[in-house]
Amino acid sequence: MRNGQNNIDTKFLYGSLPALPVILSGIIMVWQSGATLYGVVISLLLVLCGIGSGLLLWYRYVNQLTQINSRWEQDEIGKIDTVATYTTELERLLLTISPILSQHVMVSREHTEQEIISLTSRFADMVGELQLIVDSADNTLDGQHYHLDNVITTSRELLQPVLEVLKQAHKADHDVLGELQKLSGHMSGLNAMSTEIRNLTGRINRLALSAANEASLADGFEVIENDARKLADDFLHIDQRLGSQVNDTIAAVTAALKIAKNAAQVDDSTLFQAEANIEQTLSHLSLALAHYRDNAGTLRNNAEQIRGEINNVLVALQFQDRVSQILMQVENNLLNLQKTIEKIQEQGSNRDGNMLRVDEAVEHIEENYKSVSSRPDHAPDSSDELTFF
Amino acid sequence: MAKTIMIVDDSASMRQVVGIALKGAGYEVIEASDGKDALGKLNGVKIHLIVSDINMPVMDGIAFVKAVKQLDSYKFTPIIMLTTEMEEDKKRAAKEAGAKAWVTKPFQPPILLAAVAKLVLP
Repeated sequence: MRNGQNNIDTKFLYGSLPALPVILSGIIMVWQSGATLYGVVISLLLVLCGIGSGLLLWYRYVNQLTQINSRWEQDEIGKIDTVATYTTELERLLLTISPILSQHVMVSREHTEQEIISLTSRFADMVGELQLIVDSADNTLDGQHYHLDNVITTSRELLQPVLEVLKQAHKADHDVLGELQKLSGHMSGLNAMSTEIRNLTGRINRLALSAANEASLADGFEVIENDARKLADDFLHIDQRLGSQVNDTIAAVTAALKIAKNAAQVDDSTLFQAEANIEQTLSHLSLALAHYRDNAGTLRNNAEQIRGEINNVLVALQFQDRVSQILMQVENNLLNLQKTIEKIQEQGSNRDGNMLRVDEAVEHIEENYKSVSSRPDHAPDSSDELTFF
Repeated sequence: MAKTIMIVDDSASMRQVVGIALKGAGYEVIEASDGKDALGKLNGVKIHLIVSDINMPVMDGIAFVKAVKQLDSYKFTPIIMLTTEMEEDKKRAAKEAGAKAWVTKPFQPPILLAAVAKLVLP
């Protein structure tokens, strides 16, 4: 206001400047006329004219200033009204929108929570079923390992005596073959003896013939000749029977030897083949078991990877809780904003911008968000994540 | 026979996530939504360990731990705090109240299971 008064005085001073030469002219005229009545009157008139013109100019300025002030005042009042309307409407907008936003945030949060709960529940079922499958596979594999190990061990234990028995039978066959070969040798001896008997018979016959000749020359030896002949006949008879028996036996032994040799050859081959087959079968079984173990290892590795993935998903699902907390903060902050505005609104025309305490409110909100959002996403090392008291 | 663990957390999804981890390790689970709800569910049931959040409505985790330690049947039941909190003051308060371990969220299931395996009652 004081500045405005100074401004008006200054304008009056500058606006009155044109009256100054007139006043000075009047003063000079009085001085030049030697203070005559005429001069004094003229001078006074000039002074009065100067003062009059100064006053006229001053009133013009005052009038203009009044008009300018009036227009300025109208403008200011208009602006204040506009700001007041804007403030009121802004308050109304915030008070209207704040509960709606809070409601939206709350509904969003609840929907998200419900969906996450549903998702987590289904995931839990899947994890449970997966765990059952993996456990079942593990148990089956362990059982199969045990079973196959047992089968192979038992097979070895069972087949080993069979092989031993086969080897013993094979040895017995060879023993029989040896005995047959010995028998065949004996048969040759018998055959030789038969030949000797046949020779002996011939000699006896020749002796009997000599005895007959001697008997014809000297009576009385007829009895000896008869006995010798009878003995020769008996030898011949025995020789024939023996020869026949020996031939039959040799034929039978030869046939048996041939069969035994063939059988021994077949046994050799069969035993070798059987041993080879058994070893091959056991080898295949061991190989199959090794493959099975490899597959079991792969299955276990896969199961471990699945467990790792499940853990990662469980960590990821926990972020819903973080989101929920942040949304809760948003809800609370909107509620606080609403309360603050309502409280200020109650003050009516005494409302003051400082009542909002904007910096303090912003700092409080930032602190709240910081406390939620600054928490670690994943603890980098377990010592930060777990503390025992 | 499976051991029973009580999970106390106001977030249903967190209870489920913790439940999945514990059930996968062969534990049975009882859930409660806050400290008061948990105290109501104890009621003589044999509990081998409790896993509790801190920030909960109605009764928070620290108050719950203090209340449990007042109960003759449960004063030796180990309690693990599972929380997003990282403030040392709260950690100290939990320790003074009688908690045995502190696990921060989000947790890695093997870490929680390691703590549970170490503390669970025989």
